[in-house]
Amino acid sequence: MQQFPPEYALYQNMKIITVLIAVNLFAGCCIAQIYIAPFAGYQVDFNNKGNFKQANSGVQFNFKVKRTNRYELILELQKNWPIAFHSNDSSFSSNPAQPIYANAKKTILPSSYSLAAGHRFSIFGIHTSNIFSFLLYGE
Amino acid sequence: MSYQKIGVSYEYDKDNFIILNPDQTTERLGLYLSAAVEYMRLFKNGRIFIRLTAATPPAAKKINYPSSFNLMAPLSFNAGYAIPIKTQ
Repeated sequence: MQQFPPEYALYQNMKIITVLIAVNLFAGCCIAQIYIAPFAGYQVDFNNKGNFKQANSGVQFNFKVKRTNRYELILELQKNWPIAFHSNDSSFSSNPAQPIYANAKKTILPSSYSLAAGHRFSIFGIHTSNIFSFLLYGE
Repeated sequence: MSYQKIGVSYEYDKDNFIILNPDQTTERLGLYLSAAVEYMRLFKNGRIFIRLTAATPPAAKKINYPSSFNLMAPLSFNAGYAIPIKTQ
């Protein structure tokens, strides 16, 4: 089986992102309103039994499209700050003057960044001050 | 695109003990998808929003420590305020 260097995956990702950004810019030809929105929050991770938790901060740009109140294009940059997760592991010794094993404190710091393009579809309350929306992100 | 770094460190008597096959700090970069539901309240000079988001793990090379940790698939709760910066 042919082996690809690690840079090849990044190159493939960059090609996909370039296409997605081009599509999003094309869709932005009819922009009527731009919002800048800082935000903050908290998250838990379901892929590690809820052990990893993070504090969020980020900023998003919302591009409201002309002729509709239902749709907005979103570009979002987010930084997730790690909250330490502590657990225990075993360390071993071959020195007869020491016990065979002892506890080792293990600390995991899960952090992440994300850059995403998304779409907001307003579902309820479009003509009121209280709007419920569904958002779909990718990238 | 999501970049995840899972940093691992140990505290133990490094002079007399060793850890067999310790976990190493792992970094991954990959594409991901997420979906969210959001409530937004409009005001005269902006809008406040609260949002619940679920995301997939990034599509990247698998981590070597499946019994210890995996790439993250977060469920996040965020709140923010949107300020209009351009009006046509």
